[in-house]
Amino acid sequence: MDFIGAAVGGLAMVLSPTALAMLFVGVIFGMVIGFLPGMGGVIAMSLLFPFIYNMELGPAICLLWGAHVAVVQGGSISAILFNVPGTTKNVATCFDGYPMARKGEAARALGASATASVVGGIMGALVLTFFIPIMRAIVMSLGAPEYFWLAFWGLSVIAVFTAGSVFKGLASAGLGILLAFVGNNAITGSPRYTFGTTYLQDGINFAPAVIGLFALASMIELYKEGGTIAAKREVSAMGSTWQGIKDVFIHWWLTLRSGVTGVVIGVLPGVGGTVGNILAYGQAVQTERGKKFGTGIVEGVIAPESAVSANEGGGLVTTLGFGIPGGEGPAILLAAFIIMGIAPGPEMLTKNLDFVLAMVWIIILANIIGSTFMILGAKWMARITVLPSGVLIPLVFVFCAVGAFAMDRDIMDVVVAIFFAFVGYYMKKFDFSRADLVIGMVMGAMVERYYHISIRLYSPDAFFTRPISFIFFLIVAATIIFPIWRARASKQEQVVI
Amino acid sequence: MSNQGKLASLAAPKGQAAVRLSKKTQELIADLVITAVLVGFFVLALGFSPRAQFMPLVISGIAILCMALEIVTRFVLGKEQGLALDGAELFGTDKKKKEFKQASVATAEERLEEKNEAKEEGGKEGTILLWLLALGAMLFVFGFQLTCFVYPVLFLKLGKTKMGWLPAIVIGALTWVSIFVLFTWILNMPFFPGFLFGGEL
Repeated sequence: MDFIGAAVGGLAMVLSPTALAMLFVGVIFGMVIGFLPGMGGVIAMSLLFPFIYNMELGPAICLLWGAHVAVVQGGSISAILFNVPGTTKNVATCFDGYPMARKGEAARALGASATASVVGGIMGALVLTFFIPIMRAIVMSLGAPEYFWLAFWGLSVIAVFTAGSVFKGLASAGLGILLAFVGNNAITGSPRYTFGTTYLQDGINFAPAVIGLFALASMIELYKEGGTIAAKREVSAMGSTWQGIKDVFIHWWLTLRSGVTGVVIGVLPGVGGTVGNILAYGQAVQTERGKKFGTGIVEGVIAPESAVSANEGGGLVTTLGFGIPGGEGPAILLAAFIIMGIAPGPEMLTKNLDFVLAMVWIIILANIIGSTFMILGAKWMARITVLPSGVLIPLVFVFCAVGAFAMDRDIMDVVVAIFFAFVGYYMKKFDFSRADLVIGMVMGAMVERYYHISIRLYSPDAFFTRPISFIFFLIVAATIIFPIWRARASKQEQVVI
Repeated sequence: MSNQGKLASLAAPKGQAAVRLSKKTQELIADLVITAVLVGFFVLALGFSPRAQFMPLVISGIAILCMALEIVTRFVLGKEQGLALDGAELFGTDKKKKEFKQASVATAEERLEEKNEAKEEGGKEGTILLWLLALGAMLFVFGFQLTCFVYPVLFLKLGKTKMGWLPAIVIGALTWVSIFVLFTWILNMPFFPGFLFGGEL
């Protein structure tokens, strides 16, 4: 099958009236699920899964994958408006998105987020199209030592988040890593820090913890300060939205860099969009000189949003090309393929190339549809930020509690969210970085797992003697040293996030 | 600048320092709490198997060291010059002592104002944290269905907005309906019913 013919065939599959209608339904459903705290793409796909049994292949995949792609866009809306990361992949969007809303620039942040998502999504789709054949060789050359350094690279981003006291930043990250160790150890199987409870054996659920750390904690602060989320009573809506759209093209280089980060992280199986989101934010802090990140600047929204959308395309490379799911979402997609009689793997690139390219079109179209909704709705959504705090707070509290519960339908997750609300509030109050804590929680278990696998399968010097591993080590070293050196040289201002 | 103004500006740091000192004490307590938590993680890790304890011991050890360095550099080596300065000693003469006393009165008023502000802030902090705890307690006892309606109504009626019953009930009902439509009707999600209605952990 020739490439152009397959591309046209794929587009025709997606543009059939039924498939297009399912794509719209999937995108709207995905955005609603993404907007609700704690509900991610996996839940969206799981809920839609029973509906695909009687569908044809095109509409079924449009419904499932359209919803999955749109979830992160919905998540960015709540991250910007309420500091509630709709999905864990939107954590870094909170860091500058919510401060922008507080400055009365919610519409601008939403416009920038929507546009960065489209650009990132298209980048991910292009990578998926052109790089599947060579990605196999790259991914297969990576072993546990390389993954260890990759996880360590994620941890090294702490260096750029640590404004104020370096010791407090490191201690926050350390605490986050230790929290990631709670539960049954993946290597030995022995329980750690569970205090004999069954609830903690699976570890601390990340979504309720993040809801507490950011959303509930920011509502506590809002209650103390009073007034509204937006500092300005008048939110100039549409003008700001267009400004946000323009911002993405003004900062085109940052958008592209972040997209590449998202794609690379997406290609690596088991790493996930949360890591890509945080790493892209970290590289923006490192490379955008003279910017005060964490205070509500648009670059802090563009970078994570571009990365998280690009991540979807990257994640499909291994799913479609090798039959290895890049995350939980692609794993459900894989199950859907099998139900429909399609065997994922290298043969897809020869026998079902039109289907692979249909997936590319779905990513592009879902991003465009979702972003259009966001841009058109930004004007009204931004108005939420001028609601009186006394009215908004109980509603956000209730929705956060429901969101924390919804993930695993466990009431103890609500307790976790409330506990982390206290932790997050007091951490902010006493200048401990919540971002560092979250990074520690995301990366801690991964660092430990790949450390032990590396020691067991390779010799301890494998961390430095394997060529790719050594290159990764150099990148990690540069990531730690460069921002510290530059911060000392330029005395760059930053705030504790 | 008048002499009085000069004196006030010289004396002002004392009042601010008093507030800063109090905040610093709070910061010290926060640092000690975090350190204690990290020590707890370290001690518990000593009971794990050798392979399971390696990373927790290393990470908690480094984190404790960081907190120790933070406490030492900030609270042991840290200098708060001017805290011990006595206005009368500084200005010497009786006249100037009198002028300083007047300025100190102004500073005392400022201090009282700051103290009141801090008290008000502390009150708000306590109130909202109690509201949050109340939400958790209500969810456990009454379950989601009832709490999602009652909690917003109570917050709007009894909280700082002091809204009338009717608008509070309307907002509470709308919250309940949106949660019912989204989670129960569309997503078919069973909610925790609460201990009062047969819920179990």
